[in-house]
Amino acid sequence: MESKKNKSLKTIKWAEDIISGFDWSKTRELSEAEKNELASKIYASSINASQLRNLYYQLSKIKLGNISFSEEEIFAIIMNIAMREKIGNCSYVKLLQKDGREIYDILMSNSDELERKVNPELIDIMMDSGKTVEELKEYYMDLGLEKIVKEYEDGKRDIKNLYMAKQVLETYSSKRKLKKDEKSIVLYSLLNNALLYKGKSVLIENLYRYIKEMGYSSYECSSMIINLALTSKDKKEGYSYSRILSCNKKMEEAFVPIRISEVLFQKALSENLTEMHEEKTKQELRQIGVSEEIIEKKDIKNLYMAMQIVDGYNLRLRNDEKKAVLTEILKPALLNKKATNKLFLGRLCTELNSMGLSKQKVYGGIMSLAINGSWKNGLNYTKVLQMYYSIHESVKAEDINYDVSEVDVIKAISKNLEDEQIQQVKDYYESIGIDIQTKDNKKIENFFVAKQIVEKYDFGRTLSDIEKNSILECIVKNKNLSERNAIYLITTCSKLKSMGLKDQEVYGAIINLAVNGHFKNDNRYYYSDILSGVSSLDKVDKDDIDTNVEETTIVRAMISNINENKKGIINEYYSNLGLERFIAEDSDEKKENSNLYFAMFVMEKIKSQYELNENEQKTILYEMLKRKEFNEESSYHYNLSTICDKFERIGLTQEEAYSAMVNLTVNGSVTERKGFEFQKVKKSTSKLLELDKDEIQKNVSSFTINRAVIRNLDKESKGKLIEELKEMGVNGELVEQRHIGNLYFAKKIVDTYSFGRELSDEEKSSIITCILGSGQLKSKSNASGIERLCNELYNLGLSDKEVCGAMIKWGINGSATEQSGYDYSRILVSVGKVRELDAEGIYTHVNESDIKNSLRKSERVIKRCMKGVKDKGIIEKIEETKMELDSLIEKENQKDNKQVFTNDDMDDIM
Amino acid sequence: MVSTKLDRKALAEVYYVILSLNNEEFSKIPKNLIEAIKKNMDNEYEVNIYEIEKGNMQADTEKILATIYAYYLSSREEKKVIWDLIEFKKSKNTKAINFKKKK
Repeated sequence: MESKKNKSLKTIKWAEDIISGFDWSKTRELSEAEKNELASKIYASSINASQLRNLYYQLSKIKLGNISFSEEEIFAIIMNIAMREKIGNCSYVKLLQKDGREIYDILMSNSDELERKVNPELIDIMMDSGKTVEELKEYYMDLGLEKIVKEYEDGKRDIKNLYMAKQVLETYSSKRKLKKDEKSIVLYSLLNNALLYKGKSVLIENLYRYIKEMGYSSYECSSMIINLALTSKDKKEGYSYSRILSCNKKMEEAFVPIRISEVLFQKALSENLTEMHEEKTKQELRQIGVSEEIIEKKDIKNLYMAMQIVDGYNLRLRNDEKKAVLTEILKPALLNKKATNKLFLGRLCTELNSMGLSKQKVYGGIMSLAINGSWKNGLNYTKVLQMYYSIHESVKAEDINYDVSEVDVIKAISKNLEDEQIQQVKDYYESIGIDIQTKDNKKIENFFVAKQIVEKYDFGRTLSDIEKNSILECIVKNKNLSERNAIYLITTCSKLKSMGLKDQEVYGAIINLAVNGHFKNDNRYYYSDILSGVSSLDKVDKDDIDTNVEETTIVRAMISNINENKKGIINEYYSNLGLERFIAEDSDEKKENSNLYFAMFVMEKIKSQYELNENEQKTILYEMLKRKEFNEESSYHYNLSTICDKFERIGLTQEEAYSAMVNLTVNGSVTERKGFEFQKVKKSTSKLLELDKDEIQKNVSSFTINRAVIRNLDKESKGKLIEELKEMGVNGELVEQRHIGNLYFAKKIVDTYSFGRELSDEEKSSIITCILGSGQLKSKSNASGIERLCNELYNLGLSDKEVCGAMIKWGINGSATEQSGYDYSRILVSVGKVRELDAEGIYTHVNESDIKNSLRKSERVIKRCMKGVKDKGIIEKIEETKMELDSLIEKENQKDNKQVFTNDDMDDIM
Repeated sequence: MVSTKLDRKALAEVYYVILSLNNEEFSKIPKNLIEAIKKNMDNEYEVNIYEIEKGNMQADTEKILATIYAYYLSSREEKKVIWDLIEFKKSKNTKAINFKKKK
């Protein structure tokens, strides 16, 4: 401190006037000691009153943006410069010794330092006490730098350096967001230099000012100082942090980058860890679950850097996933702290970074290398570590796999399964009834990976447990995975990924491959072949790999492995529908389980689509499965799912394929084209592939359903239907004479059509009578006349209800079209004629007049005959006709009596 | 089958007309008559019920259906009218015969 004794009163007066001339109420009142200290700073060294006056004068001349400083502001500026002891790179004392012009120039060139108010922090720093100092200590303590605070309290450190280090850090972190730990390491690095201890009189602020004087911004200055502190600490030659701290001028020769890459920054941090940071890093690794063996064996720099790699890569990982990836990264012995040729991950990172690779690529490249063992060019992890310094010479950017995804993480976990995880996998498979049957825990990897694939694949809906487990079973029930050595499911996954497939596509491909046995569009290689030799995938076109798991595949998985659980479901399902004969072990009609299970899926899918009642469900299931080829004992095993598969390959959706299959099994064909009947295609379902999807009947018509129901009506149901019709009023004799199929359809037509009101029994029976009354239906052999006609109309494009309307029209009026030659009698004889009609020209709307017309039609005909007889004047002929009818009866009676007599006679003889 | 003067095709047409009667009406026709018609009708003949509705029928069909109506299906009042008419027609015919004889 400059002694007052050596100063003129005038100078002291000047200094005191400056202090008292400032309105301290807006900052804080100064203590006497602070005032004295501040005054001594103002009249420091050989400064005299005229020099102070000159400074005041130069400041009063300055105009910043046309605004001059007020007297109070000039005082504040002088006090701040005095407390800082510098402005720009010029000391306060030297500034005052310069002539007016020079002072003016210096002030103008450092105008950003001309603060109009006194910075109270500077007073605290100047006094080495107060709020600012306390807060600074707290700041360091909060960052875990108790050691620095202690050294300061012990008088070993200058508060100015602590203050400036914080300023540098905060300026730097205003642009680069730093984590607390990173801040702590940076701060420690800034201050961890012997030159910065008290007594050496080296100030960070001086270096800062020097760089600033070189024309850099505050951020650039801060960044360069941090770079120096972090990266050039140990440089013996050139321009180390120490050297530049001690000789700021060296900064002009040194090349210090303004910006430091994230990778280099992290690497630098790893090399500047304090004991506290080391312990913290270990603690974090423990929390993640990394083994104690790794934590203790590996060099702390590598532990820290591995953490940065995993945390810094754009992939959100759970702790167990992080643990596995970290374990893979840290595996090489070269990364041990006691390794003979110890290597540092940070250095590999910076070398890769210097090749122009981004942080993501550097971290991804190292993770991929660690997990998969090598890069595209075949270089393995250890080799890459060993030759890190010349990596840019032997590796091209395109040789590196950068993309680390879920598949890689699964791989890392599968390679590092712990006892607890192994037991979990075993328990899971046991719970779903799959026996892992392996004592070799290595094989557990495959079961773990399979489970991950099924759990992680997005099926677009939530799969039931039984569906999931069925798929899982398809994946793991391959002997290669459980019996043969060195065959890993994850290897196939990685291979698929290396072909450019995304994670979801990889999972989908594996599921499709396992369930279907091969890829849809390339069946050269089977699941087993690919598992045992992934190189076969080199010959497969990526686009031929089906990656989307369709519902059909899920169903196929379900029917692939029928376990006891599924058998129970099948038995219950078919029992409930009254189809025990298909499931009873001793039944001649016992069906093959996979067909039973598949038919069940088909039914569950279509029953709501076609609003099938229980009887219709039962009937269609029966029709689908009734053929001997589907029997368990059949020598010719025929799979319903194979038919569906063919339909889907033609381009039908799952629903359409199921409907087409119902049409094929119930109607015997799905197309009008000859040669594709069930009997023809059953031996070679591939024949179905010759069909065009547009020529296939993709909807199940109500007539197909009814056809199936009719075929399976039992005696009781038939009797019930006949009684119902008679009770309704339909002529009993007509009912008895018509085939049950025609009766069923006639009633179904009237029941299905929407008349817009409830019909009376008489109306219903009249319409049914009209439909059944045609002479062309007289023979029971014409069993399916109505049904076939309905089907033709349906195929013409009419809806179920329209078909019913047309049939009613035809039945009542004898015609349903303007065109002649298509009356009911004629088309019943030749239903194919309907195809000649235009669907739009067919009347399908039944009106009240039609209903009225149907009522008592025969009675009206008979009455008209009566009238005709009257009108013709031959009414008396009635008696004559009656006599002829009586005679007809008589003769028939005689004939019958003769017959009876003969029979009685025969009895006597007997 | 017995020999009859009635046209067998007409019997077939009659049968298909009465077959479309409702149960109530149909039951009014004696069973033995229906049986006799069935047994004597032409089974090969393709009856077109819609043509009959239009009046295109065998000559006997009209007579037989009118007879069936007169005897079995008509109401009491209708029957009275019919029989009165028949009696009237018969007496008219008798008078005409006698008139011819007188002539």
